[in-house]
Amino acid sequence: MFENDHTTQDVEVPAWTRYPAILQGIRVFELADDSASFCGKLLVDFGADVIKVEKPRGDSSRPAPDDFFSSLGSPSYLYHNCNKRSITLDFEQAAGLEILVELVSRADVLLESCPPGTLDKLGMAYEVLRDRNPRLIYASVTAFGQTGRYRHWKSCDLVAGACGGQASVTGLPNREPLKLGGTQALYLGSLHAALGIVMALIQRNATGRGDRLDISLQEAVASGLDHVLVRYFSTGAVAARCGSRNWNGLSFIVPCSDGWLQIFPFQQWGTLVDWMNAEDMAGPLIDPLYKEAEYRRTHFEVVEQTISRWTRMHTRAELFETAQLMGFPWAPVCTLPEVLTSPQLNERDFFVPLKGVRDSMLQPGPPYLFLTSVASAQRSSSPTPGRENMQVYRDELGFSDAELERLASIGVI
Amino acid sequence: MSFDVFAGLRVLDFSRVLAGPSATRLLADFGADVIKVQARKTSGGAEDNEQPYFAAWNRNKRSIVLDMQLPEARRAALDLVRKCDVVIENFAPRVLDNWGLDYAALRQENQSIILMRMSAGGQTGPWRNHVAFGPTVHALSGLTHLTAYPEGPPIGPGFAYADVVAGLYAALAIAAAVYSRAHTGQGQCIDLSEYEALVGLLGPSLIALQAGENEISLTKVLAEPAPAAPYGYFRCQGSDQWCAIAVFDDAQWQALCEVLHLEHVGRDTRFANVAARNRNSAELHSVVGARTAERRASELALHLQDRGVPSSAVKDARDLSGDPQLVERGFFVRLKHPARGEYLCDRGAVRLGCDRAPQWMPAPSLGQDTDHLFRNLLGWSPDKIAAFRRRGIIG
Repeated sequence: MFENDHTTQDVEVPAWTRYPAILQGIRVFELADDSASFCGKLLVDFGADVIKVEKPRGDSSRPAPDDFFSSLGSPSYLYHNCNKRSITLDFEQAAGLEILVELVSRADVLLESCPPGTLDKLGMAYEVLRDRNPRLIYASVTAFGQTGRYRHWKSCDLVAGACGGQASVTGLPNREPLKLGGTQALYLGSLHAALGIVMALIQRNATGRGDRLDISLQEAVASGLDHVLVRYFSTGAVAARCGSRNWNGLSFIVPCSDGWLQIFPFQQWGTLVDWMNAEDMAGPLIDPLYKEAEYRRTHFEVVEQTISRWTRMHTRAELFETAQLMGFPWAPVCTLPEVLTSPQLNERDFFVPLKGVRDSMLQPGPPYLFLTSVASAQRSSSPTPGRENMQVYRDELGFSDAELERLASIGVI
Repeated sequence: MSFDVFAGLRVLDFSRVLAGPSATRLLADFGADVIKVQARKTSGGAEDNEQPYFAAWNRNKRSIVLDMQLPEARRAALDLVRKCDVVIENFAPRVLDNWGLDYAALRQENQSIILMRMSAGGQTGPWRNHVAFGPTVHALSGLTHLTAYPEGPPIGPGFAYADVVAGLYAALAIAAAVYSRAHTGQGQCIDLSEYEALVGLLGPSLIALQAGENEISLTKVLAEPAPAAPYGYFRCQGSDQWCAIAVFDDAQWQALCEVLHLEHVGRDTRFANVAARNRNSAELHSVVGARTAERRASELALHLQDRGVPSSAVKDARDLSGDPQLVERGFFVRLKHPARGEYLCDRGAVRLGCDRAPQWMPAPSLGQDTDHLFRNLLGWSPDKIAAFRRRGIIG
């Protein structure tokens, strides 16, 4: 078994870590709401110094819907912002803007999700900042991108999923679409942004210069639809909602005695029928006609009902275990509590402590293990707004206490 | 300039279907030399070079045929590793190990190799030998459970979302390893779990769960970081036409009411703020839906966006292909295959640097680069190439 090593010291023997300090020394200023704060998390987990710049009254994802989280920030805020530093700054005021420009001139990355044109109008266009800091990587994540006639449109996870094509293929036919659980469209934007930033860093190694990154949430969604655009462009077929049945009919969900099971019954049909038959539950499926894929397709209801009658007699665990032993890609439809107790995830130490909340609270770690000799330290919980104001303004920028008081009094910090 | 980020990077790509190929497609799009290792016996379905799916996900790559069942093929693969920077695979963990191509063996050939091992559950753990496709991982991760109508059975995504996510994480991890190697000279071995990737994207829900929220109130925290109401899909005029509408504040609420001629509703205290609208959500949905049903989805979205309300028609593949914003931004690219002709695909969402149209190559046909690669990269003689072809080692 490989150990996770959470120290910052070089270790002589490489050990697996989820937090390789690959971006140590890279400084990122994050002017982002939840369109891109997950990007900052991806970078901080690689050891970057990510400093959130929040308005003196905090960013929009802080408000929490209920009492437990109201003083801490919402679950999203807590999850996205561990190990980041935070300063408060009102950069819409002239004095604040000047400070931000100074900070960014010493940074590697500016990560922002302001509506297109906002920073330009304030005097923080890429071309302007690049003059002072040619190595700057200026990464923008917005609803529809920096260009195009609809760049000023507003979005959110629901709208991005709708305009990007996810919604049209998720849910039941003849009913309203379903949004994917969680905030998947926003996360796709962040994943693309993090990838683009690391690519820009690689490019900078060769050219010595930074670059501009333009991520559109709509494009992030639309570029990840698997079969949908492929089928349209090749055959004109418009993918539709199929409920839990996947588009080529090869997988669907059946009931068990204790929940639901995702099955792929057609790959090894003969073996499945034998299995059901051993319990006298194969019913009409024993007929050799069902060996033909086309016959199964036109008699799908019989197939589904017969299999369901059998699976209802079993627990998900029984069927999952036996199916996987036979190489069937079946799995229980797990609830969230079941995810937390997953033997696979726990054996791999996937869940890590969420600091700053209750002691026993866990969060997912990064999904990759790197075999490397330098891990990054797990520094802290997600910050309160302005927690690092002193560190950054006084210690790093050299502001005096008097100047800091003055700036606070006019609401700049 | 920006399409050369990975120029000079050579990738030996054993990956298949979507998760791995989407990652290596990105690397190839940005200049990497991606060598796709295929076998005649297994080049079917999504891995059939002649099919549109393959054409879309494997552009810009080269193809060689190598029968990895044969020891000489494995030796040839190790020789190729010496000339490569990255090796990527998404088999069950034992496959590469059985071929004698684990990280230790690769390092013998090439000390600074970067090995990306993608799998459903990871290289270790009780489920490491499990078989999985996208829906398998969706089910395990909790995403299928959460993608359901309020009173109904689980449904899940209508496409292999888990594979898309795994591909992005793989590209990110490989890029990070490449960046790191430039500074340290050291390679890397990376163990990426698609299951973990998807669970990671449900972090806030898992945190809310532990705070003592029961399943019913979870829907409150699951929707969006900031609460909104209305927040959902509304039926519009025509068959299966829907508009997604999200209202986060009072200004947007008043704007929605004006656009829908629901001024009296805008003054109704039952709907005065987000919390109140959530309490009366059924009636809210009914009242708003009665008006949206009289409007065309695109026109309604246009009108609402004009007034600052986040909204969009629910777009299908045909809508996307003609979407003015996507078209104007050059999101669709045309590739030309010598035998199959022209085809369209999307360019992906990473836009780095000056925004010019990429000059990209179509997907390769099976084994089109075998001869060229073994001759030019490994210096094999024509006789050796012919002999290995006859014996089915390469193809």
